Amino acid sequence: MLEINKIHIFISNKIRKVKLRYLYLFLTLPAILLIVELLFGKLGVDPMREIEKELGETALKLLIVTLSLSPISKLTSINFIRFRRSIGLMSFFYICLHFLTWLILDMQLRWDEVIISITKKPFILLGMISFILLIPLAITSNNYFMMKLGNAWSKLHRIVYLAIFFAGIHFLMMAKTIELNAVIYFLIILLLLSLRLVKLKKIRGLK
Amino acid sequence: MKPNNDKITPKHLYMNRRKILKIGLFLSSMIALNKISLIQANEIFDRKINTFEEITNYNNFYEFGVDKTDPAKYAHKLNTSPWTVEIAGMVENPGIYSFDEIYNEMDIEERIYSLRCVEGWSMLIPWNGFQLSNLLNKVGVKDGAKYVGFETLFRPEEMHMQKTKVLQWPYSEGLRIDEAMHPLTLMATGVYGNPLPKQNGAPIRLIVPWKYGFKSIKSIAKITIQKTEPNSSWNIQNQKEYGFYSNVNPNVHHPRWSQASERYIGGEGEGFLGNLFTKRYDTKIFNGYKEVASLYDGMDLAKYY
Repeated sequence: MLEINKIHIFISNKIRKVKLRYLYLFLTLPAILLIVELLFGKLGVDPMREIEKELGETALKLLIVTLSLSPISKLTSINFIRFRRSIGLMSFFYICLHFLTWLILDMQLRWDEVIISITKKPFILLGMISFILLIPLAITSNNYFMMKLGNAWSKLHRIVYLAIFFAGIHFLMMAKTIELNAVIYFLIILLLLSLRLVKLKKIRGLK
Repeated sequence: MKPNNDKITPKHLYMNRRKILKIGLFLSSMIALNKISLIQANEIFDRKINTFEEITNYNNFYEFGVDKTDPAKYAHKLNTSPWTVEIAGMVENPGIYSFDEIYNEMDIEERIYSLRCVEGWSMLIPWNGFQLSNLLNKVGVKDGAKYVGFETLFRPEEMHMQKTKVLQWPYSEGLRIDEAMHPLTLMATGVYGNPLPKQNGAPIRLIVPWKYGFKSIKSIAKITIQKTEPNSSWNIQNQKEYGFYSNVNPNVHHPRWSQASERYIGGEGEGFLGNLFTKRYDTKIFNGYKEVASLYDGMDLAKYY
C-alpha cells in the first residue's frame, strides 16, 4: 500500500513538472510523421486522401483524449487537467489542417461544389458544424478569456460535447460500410458524454 | 508487387506510350467503336494514362479489405487457376466453361477506358479483353431475356472479408441486356498486356466504362441471363446511394460525394508531389461515353439512378 502511494506521488510530481511546450512539440509528431511518409512515398497512390483522413482522425483522437482527462484524473487521483488546454488546442490545429486539406487539395476551391457539399451532404455538414462550434472554444482557450468570462466560460466550453458528438458521427458516416475504428471512437465518445450527464445530474440534484 | 515496366513494353515504346496508345486507340476505335467515340476518347486522352503500379495498388475489392491498399496485400490468397465461369439461364448453350476455353475462343483487344469511381476519383486504364456481346452471342441469348446477372465466388477462406457482413456475398452485379450487348461493354482479362492481376479481378472481370466503378464486378464466376432485375450487392447494402443503373452523371447528386467533378488519381506531375496534387475535372455525363445515351431515351435518369 505504501509502495502504491509512493508511485502515485512520484507520478503526480512528474506530471506537475512536464513543461507544456514539450507537450505541444510532442503533439506535432503526427503531422511531422505525415510529411516524412509523404516525402518517402509511403502514402500510396492517393496521398491527398491519406493526409486528409489522417489529419481528421488525429484531431478526433486528441479531442477524445481532451475529454478523457477529467474522468481519468478522478479515477487515478492524479491531476491531468493541466494538459487539457494544450491537447484541446492541438486537436483544433489538426481540425484546421483537415479542413484546409479538404478545401484546397480535395475540393480545389471549387466554391459551388464546396457549398453544395456542405448543404447537401450530411456527413460533410456534420463535420463543418463540429468545426464551427469549436472555433469560439479555441479562441477563448487562454487565461485572458477565462478570467474575463468567469462562470460563462465553463458554460461556453460545454459546447465541446456537441462538437465531439457530431465529429464522431462525421467519422462514422465517412466510410461506405461500418468501420470498426469509427465504431470504437463513437462508443468512447458516448461513454464520455454519459459520464458528463451523470455528473450534471448530480450537480443539479445537490442544488 | 513491383512491376517491371521494361517487361511490359520495350523501353522506347514505353517512354512514348502516350503517343503510341493514341495510335492504338485510333485503330481500335475505328474497328470496335464508331467515329463518334473516337472524338470522345481523344477528349479523355488529354490526361496521363495511369501506371501499372497505380492501377495495381489502388483498388476497391471489399473481399480483401476496405482500404485501397488491402487488395494488393491480400488478393494473392485467391486461387484463380483453374477458373470456371458458369453461364446459366436463358441461353442456348448453358454450361460451366473453363476460363482458358473462353479466353482462347475470344479475340482479345486493347481498350483504354476511364474508370470513374462513385467516390469521386477516376483513372485511365489500358485493359485487354473482349466484348461481352461476342461471348453472349456465342452462347446464344434466348428471346425474352432482359437482364444479365454476374456473381463472383464465395470463398471466405481465401477472401477473408466474406466472413464479415459488410456486403452481401458473393458480390453480385447486373446489367440490362442492351447494356450488356453494347460494344463498349468489355470483359477484361488483362491490363497493360499482362494477365489481370488478382487485385484487379483476375482472371476475368466486367468493365462498363459509363457506369460507376462498383458496377464493373471483378473475378466473375457466374453469368446468368434472366428476365428479372438481378441483385446488386451495393444496391442491397444502401439502395439510396447505389442505384441499379448507377450511370456516371454529374447532375444526379449522391448523398455522400459530389458527382459534379472527379480527381484524376495519379496526378499531373511526376513523383510523390505530382500524386499529391491530383487535379479535379468536371465529370461528364456517361463518363464522356455519349454513344450510350440512346440506351436511356425517355428515361428519367434522376429516378432511375
